[in-house]
Amino acid sequence: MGIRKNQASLTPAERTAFVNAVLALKQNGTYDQFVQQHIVRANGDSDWSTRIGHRAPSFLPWHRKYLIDFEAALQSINPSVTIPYWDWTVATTTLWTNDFMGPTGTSGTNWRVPTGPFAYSGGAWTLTVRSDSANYLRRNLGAGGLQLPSSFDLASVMGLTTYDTSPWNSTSLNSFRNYLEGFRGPNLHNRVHNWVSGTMAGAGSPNDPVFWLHHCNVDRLWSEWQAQHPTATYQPAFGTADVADIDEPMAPWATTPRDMLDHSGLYTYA
Amino acid sequence: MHVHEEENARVLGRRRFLVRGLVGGGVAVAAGAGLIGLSGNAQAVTLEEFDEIYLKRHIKGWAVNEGVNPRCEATIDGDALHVMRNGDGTFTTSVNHYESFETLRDATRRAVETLGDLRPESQSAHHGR
Repeated sequence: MGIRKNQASLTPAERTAFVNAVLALKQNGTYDQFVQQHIVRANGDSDWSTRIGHRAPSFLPWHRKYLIDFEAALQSINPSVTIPYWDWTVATTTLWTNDFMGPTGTSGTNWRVPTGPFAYSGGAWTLTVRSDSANYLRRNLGAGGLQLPSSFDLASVMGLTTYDTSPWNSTSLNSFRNYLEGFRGPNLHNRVHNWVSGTMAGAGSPNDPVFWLHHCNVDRLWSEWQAQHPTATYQPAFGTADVADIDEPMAPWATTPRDMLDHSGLYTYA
Repeated sequence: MHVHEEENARVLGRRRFLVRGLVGGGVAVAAGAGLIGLSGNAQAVTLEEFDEIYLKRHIKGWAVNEGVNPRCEATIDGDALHVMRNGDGTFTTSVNHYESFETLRDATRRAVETLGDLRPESQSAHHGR
């Protein structure tokens, strides 16, 4: 069983092991399959028809399964690696460094990440499966003066007591899922994608490895919320059009939301 | 199903432009009847259309409501931009997948800003190159 840690508390050896495992998955083609899976769901999920990975009750369990699969792939390279999480409510000096995620880009190069393990110039990170024509990783941290969510923002969402509400899409009100996803309330998850911007703003966002650290944090927050609200289970239960009820499969897997409710057999958070 | 819907949207788009053309000629009723026949029982209502140069890029798009079914398309310099209408009437594109915009034109303009000199690409346009 793995322990997922705060990226700020990783040892240098742990940071290097994570980066090297990600690069190995890129090298053997596995990484691009994950990107493809995300683009299919992102462009296919609709408020008006089928929605599984986004703007839907299964946003959280779908991404939990997605991260479990990615973590298993990382562990096929190096069994000691787990996905670290990025707590974006706390300022960090350890994330955007040349030994880890690499820095932001600048406007003069259309926000191309210039250095670090995932810079195009390094030769190990060419984007092939993508939603725009850039074959290079792009970032515009803090785009347009955007601020990352605060702990105050987060607390208001963690205090919600209902997992999700009708109409089970991006317009759901007083829904923990929709407020954590960010379509309503203080805008948490969506805002972080927009704050990183560049590659992270689009349907091909997993092309930026910080995607996994961001979603690991989203998963951690769901896990904490589950512990704080033990009687507030996944909704909807049955008979709901276009979305995954608790015992219905989440494409492209046979996995159901119920299968994802307890992650303690696979990993815990430190 | 999805492909079929997109094809429908294209047909509807063409019909809608045809309807606009015919309104001036005074045969809107007949054209409108054709539209109803195409879509079953719902009348297509135009939400917006635009065709302009924004930051040196040629952007074009249209959005209609057909009953409860929204249809929309947009292009940047002729390349299809993946767009969708949200449940609250706002619009989202695959370039700014985590943002919502009041109009399709706003969403397309923001995509241009985010892309810089890049082009949008539809899914599966690139494989292991």
